Amino acid sequence: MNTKITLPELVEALSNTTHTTKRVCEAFLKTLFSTIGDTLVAGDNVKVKNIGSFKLINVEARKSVNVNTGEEIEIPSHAKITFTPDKIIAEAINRPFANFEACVLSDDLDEKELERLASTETEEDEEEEQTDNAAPTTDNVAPTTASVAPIVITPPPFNPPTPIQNTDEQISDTVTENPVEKEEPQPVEPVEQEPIAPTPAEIPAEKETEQPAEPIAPPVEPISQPAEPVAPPVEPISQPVEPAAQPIEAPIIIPSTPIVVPPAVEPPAEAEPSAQPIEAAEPEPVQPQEPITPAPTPATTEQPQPTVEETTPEPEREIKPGVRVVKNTYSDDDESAPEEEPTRPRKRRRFDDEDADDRPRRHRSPYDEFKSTEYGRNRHSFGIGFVWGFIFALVMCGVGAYCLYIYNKDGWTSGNGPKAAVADSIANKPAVPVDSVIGNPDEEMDSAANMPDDKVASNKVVYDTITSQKFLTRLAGKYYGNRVFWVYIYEENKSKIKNPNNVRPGTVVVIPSAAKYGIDKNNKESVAKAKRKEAEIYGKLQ
Amino acid sequence: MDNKELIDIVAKRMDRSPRDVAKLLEALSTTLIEKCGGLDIVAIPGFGSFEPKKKLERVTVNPASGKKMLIPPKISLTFKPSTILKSRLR
Repeated sequence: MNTKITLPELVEALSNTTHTTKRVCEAFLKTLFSTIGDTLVAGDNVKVKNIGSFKLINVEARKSVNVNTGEEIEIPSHAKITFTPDKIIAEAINRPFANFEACVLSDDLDEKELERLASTETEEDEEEEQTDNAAPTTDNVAPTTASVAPIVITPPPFNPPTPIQNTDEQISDTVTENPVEKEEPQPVEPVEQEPIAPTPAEIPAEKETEQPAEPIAPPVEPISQPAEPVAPPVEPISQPVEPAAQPIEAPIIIPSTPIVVPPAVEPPAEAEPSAQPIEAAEPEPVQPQEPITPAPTPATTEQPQPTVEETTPEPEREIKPGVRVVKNTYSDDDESAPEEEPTRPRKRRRFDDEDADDRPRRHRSPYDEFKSTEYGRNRHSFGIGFVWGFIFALVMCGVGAYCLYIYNKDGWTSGNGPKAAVADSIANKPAVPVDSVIGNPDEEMDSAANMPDDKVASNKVVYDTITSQKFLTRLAGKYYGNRVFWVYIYEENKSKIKNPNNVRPGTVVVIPSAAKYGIDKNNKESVAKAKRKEAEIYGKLQ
Repeated sequence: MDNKELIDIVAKRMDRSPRDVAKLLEALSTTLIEKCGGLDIVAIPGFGSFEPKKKLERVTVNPASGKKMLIPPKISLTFKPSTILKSRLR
């Protein structure tokens, strides 16, 4: 069995069966096969009874590659011998399996089998993809956190205006309602921030441990401000200070306990320490939040004033604590006294600075004036203008920096809204554009951070790094849902990747958007196309 | 070239009667069946080798009817021309 029988053995066997001499048998075999060979070389087919037929087939010239050198060579056309065994000999050799017959397979059985095979395959794939996703998601989130963090901090200072307004105009009961509604937008941000963001960079060194406290701290400041300056002129405002503190305390509680308990006992204690870090942080113009934090302070200071003049419907503001609230208040102010606004916020600010003892003393004199004349209308001094201009410059810097960031990221796709807002606003309005700028992308960023898949769906450029555990196919599985689509990642990064089977770990690859190549894991054609491409790429390699 | 012509030519070359050659040829086929039936390879120098090969069962789809068929395993005799013959053909 499976031994090679050479000519002498064949001759012996032949002579035994025919009872002729070995010489004759050997001569016969030699002449027989040489004759067959000759005729084949001559270009003729040979048919031998009981053995089979030798046929010549012409093979056309084709191109190929030298395996060793990689050079392209052309295989010239040549004849090929095919042997078809005679029926007798074929059957005789196949005798051990002769009892088998080709049978038709029932469809049901086959489908089940296929399904079973398919399911086991997909399960394995999913498991692998899950493990893949666990690690890379953090990678994806990392870049976004930088942008999310500055944004999240701004809304809290922005929120207090509304409670203060309410307290000014309405009874303290409405204030207690407000925080409840505010919770909805607020808790979302800090909670999301906690898992996602390694914010410590932005948090002042003092409060690294308490992340939720940090974003909430800003609101305390604006409120502490109105409390003191407003108190002297108008009595009823001293009341609002307390309720105003309540909403602040409420957001503080939210992260830990979902139940709203606004007891007004602690607020002052909390307000004071929290105000300090912010004031200390203000002088540093490095971080992007700072231009933003001063912005809301004028906004907040504006709002206490309307207490006297304003009697606008409140419910709107309660419901929408977003950009609109500030806008509304502003438009109201505009109608009533557009000239006054600059003076008031400035003076409050200066008061703030006094507390911090950071600013020069000369500011005090205008403040004293302001104090004595309740509202120092038309008493603009050079110092006030300077301070206001400084604040405005800071805000514009912040807006500019953020716009630049957005532009770099999406090419103004989300920056259009803010732009329009800026166009509408007057000098005093910076708070509005800042908030609107921040409000819109904030949601986008959050959603983007949570769902890396959506990122790919949009036209954003996504980068990922090849590692020993994470190669093209896995990336494709992660981003497109099917590993076949690795070909498109390879196509996109051809300049960096020479051999898709051997990519150096650490290579940063661009993940093209699914739309660019029409990638759709549910579309069979798309998958088939990718498979064809895969074969093409492998073909080129070999 | 068919069997008769082949026998004639071989007989001429061997200076033997075609009947003897036909007998020998028949004996050759039986020996081949015997040897290859035992899954042995019969190699003839300068010409090639006859190799019986096992082929596994497989599922095919009849293109006409679309039915799936299970083809049973089988042993088939293949011929592998020697390099000498191949080079002569070229």
